[in-house]
Amino acid sequence: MNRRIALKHVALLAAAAGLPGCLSQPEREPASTALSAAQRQLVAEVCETLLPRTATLGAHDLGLPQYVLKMLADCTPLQEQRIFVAGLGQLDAAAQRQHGRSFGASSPAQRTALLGHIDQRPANFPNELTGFYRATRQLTIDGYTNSKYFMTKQVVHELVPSRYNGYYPVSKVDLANPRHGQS
Amino acid sequence: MANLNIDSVKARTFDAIVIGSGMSGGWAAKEFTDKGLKTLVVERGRQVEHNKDYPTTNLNPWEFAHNGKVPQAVQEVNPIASRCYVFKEDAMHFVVKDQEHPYVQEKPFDWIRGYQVGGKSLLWARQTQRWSKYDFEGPARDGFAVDWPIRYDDLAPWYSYVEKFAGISGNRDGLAELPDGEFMPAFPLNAVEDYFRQQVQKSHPGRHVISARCAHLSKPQPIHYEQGRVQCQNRTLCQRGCPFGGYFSSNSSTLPWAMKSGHLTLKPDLVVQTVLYDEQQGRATGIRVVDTHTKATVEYYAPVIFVNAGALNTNLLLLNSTSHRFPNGLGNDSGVLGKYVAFHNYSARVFAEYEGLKALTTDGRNPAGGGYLPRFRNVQKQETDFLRGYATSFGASRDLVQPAHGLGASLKQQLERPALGPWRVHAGMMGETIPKATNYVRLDPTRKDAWGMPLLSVSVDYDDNDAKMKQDFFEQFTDMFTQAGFTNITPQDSHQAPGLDIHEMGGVRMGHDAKTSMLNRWNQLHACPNVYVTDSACMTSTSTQNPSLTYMALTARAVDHAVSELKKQNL
Repeated sequence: MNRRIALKHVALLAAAAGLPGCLSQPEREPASTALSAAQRQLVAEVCETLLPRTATLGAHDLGLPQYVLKMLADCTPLQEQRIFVAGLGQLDAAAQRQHGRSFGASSPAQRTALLGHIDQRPANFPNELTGFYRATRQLTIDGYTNSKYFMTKQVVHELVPSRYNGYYPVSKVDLANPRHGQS
Repeated sequence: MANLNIDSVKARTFDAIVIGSGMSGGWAAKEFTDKGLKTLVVERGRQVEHNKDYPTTNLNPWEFAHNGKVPQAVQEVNPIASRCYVFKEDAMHFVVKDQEHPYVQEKPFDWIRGYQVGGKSLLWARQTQRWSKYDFEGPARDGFAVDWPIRYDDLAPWYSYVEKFAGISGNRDGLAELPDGEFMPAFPLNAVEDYFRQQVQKSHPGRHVISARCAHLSKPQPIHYEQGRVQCQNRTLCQRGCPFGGYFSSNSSTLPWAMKSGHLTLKPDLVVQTVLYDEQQGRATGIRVVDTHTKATVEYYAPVIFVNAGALNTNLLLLNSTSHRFPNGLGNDSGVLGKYVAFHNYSARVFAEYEGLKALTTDGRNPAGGGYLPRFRNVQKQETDFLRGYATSFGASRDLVQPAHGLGASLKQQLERPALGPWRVHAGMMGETIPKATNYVRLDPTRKDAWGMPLLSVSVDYDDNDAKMKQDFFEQFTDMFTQAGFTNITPQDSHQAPGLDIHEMGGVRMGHDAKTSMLNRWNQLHACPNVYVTDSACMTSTSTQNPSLTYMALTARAVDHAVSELKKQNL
């Protein structure tokens, strides 16, 4: 099976989805490096809830929590890092309110339900929590669609396409198996 | 000892010296060595050998540490470089870091530089449009700058000459305002670019949407295989350096070609401090360089010197090349050196969407980038309340859409089976700016860099003409897009500083008269004719076309002249 996808598009998606560009920061204090083991665990649970293992590999299998934390520390403006950490700190309280237990103690279905509420009704939650959710969701998606697994097994990346057709029929595009450039 | 010294001088004496190895320096190297001259090319940056020094060229997306993004810590100390579209994880090693090479901004100016063998020819956007007669006649007709001492017909054969070697793809469009060249097949317009072409033909006769002409080998010829270059493979990862040599760069083309001749000596890591001028002989005799690592200075000698350091650095070098005869910089009797710097106005874009042609998309990648509209304002005569006009890049594409909401198994499914988005189109303005004495560069009176060179102080800004032209661009493209049935039409003013266009030009302009210009019609300094300037510093006006092709043609023409003058012992 010949399944390929464009680096270009993945890169574009990643760029479009990326966190806002940098402004010069007066200080550097990567908040994520200061996360405790428990906080890191919580991030990992959120990642797995966002992209769980199904018939295909999930966030934990692909090391996406580590990717999220690395991109947070290295490529995220300090102000957004602070929002991330503050929102992370609000997650357990939100879980308590919704299900009477911490996020970590919640069932997978309860975790999905809570994050689904934040996703659909952000106005009901503190800004930091929704900021944390949006950032984590985007970074997890970036990590997934940029992973070797996704780009070789799900939609296969083409480094050397060797062609250009400006009039390609959409009917020939297999969106389940997109090839590079068919976008 | 005496003999040793003589031998040493002999070893440091060449038939020609070329300062800079970028777009135009590479051409000077090729032309001189083709003609059998023992040529020294000095480059201030490090060696970048074709293929060998392209560390990211074959990396897959997942092999980058930060998914292609530039870490915050790097961005924070490089605010200027970070504004450049090419300063990403895959190519940032080819872009000068702010703090390593400081300069003074009297007004905001984003000076984007590539200090390495090949210079910015590794990074360029590869667009190659010829100038037309209207462009060379512009200053004289419209009464700005000074008259160009050459016309289109002077350069036309040299355009052909460099196009054949570099390899240019394009259609023969038959437009007087954008003359045809020696083309390999064009990269085609896609469905919506072509649709816009047809709409514009109907709605605005006299305006043309053509395939962008670019330096990519769509159908390589024997001369390209001889360079070790093969067909462009549509990777569009050009900025990393191309393992196929699919696009033209000094590194893939002119420099290895010159090296193969056996006549080239290429010395990286040398900053030229001054062009040496001999008062008795009344001519330049060589250069003094400083080794960027050891800080040792050495002199090299040659009867002819080509300055191809890149527009502003060429200005810097000549301003710093002072002597009793030239206290204000080499060849600067007129006082115009460093003045009349101009650029291209790239600060305006118009975005839109198109709901039609949903049954079509694209497959593969287009290295030409899409369509191009030659200048249609004030071409034959003055028609607007601003001088000159703009060319425009035009592109259309459909992207895969990432779901903005949702999570869990359904999100995974959507990512694995992405939907096709609408057609999106964009137009980018490339405006001619008017060279003025008030747009200048000069030496900072006190501050120097790590190699003893004065810091360059830059004072360049937009003017009212630029503002009026930009307004016209917004109006015209809103109208053209509306008539084409595009929706969500969104003009965007980037408010970017000059410089980010990376098309800075002038300061050492060509002209008929030594009182008002620096260079004659052969790119020789009026007052020191064995020094030639054929990079962007020589430009009398800017026109709208991406300028590299013109620098290549001017360089090949000037080398031909220089060699002929050397033979006649006129230099």
